[in-house]
Amino acid sequence: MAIKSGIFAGILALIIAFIAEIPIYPPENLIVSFKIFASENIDFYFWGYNINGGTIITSLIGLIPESFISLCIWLMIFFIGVSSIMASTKKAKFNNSLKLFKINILLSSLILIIFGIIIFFLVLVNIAFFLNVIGFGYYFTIIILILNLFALRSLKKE
Amino acid sequence: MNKYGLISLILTCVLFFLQFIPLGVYFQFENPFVNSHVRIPIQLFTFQDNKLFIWGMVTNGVFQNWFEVNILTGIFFLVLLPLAGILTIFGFWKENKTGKKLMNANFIFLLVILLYSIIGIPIYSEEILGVQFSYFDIFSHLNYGFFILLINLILALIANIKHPIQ
Repeated sequence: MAIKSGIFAGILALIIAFIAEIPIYPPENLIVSFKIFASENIDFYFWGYNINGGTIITSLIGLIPESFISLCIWLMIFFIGVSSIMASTKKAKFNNSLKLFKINILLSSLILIIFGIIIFFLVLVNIAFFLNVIGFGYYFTIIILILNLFALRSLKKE
Repeated sequence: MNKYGLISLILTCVLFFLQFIPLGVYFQFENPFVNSHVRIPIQLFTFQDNKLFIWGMVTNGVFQNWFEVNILTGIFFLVLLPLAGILTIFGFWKENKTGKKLMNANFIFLLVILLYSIIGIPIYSEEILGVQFSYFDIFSHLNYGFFILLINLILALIANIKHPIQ
């Protein structure tokens, strides 16, 4: 049977890898933004960052090795998206799915730690700002990690 | 189902149908409805103001398909690549010898396309770009599309080797 939590985690990962924002209620300008965190009018996403809601800078299409770290992080989240879906299908082999879910858990933890450290140093003066700085992208990464853990558990049960 | 074949098919579709890969997609209630902050270019080669895609060429914002520029390039790019895609559609889910043959054909077509792009384009560069390239000049004008094609070829090879037969 297909593992629903794995598929859901994959879709979430692909959404935060590609999409900047989704409108919820346009008349009230209500949107869900998938930024990881925001600091001093700069919104940081997996694919780049947005300064003052206008200028977009991405190192994804820069020269290697300058773009290597950001490219790796983007590829990580893209890989999590694709592999979560592939490992959750009916015909996926047990051993391969097990390995993929473990890799996904490892990668999403790594992403959370990297951005967690960056955010920690940003709000070092006042830790109370921690929740103000974090965006939906970070929360969704936590959800992806949890869903992958659930998927791994349900796979082991099967 | 051959998963590598499916990924190869997706990459073929990306190369054939898109001008760029959109990142940071956002939605607006105007025209165009869907927009993106970042666009990863997927042309095979860039030479001055000319962008060489699988589906054609863009020169200073003017679009031309390959049959308008060079018929032979059109046959290699605009006929073989869709053919490779169609064969993959039929091949990747067939877990039998026919499926394997189709995946093999996909690999051969992609190999021919890649070889043409690094051998044929320099040969016809004067007709296409107005400048005669020597053989290795083309490697200094590679762009993301070429690497996507290379990854596609590698995946097609893996798909061919690992094709499940029941």
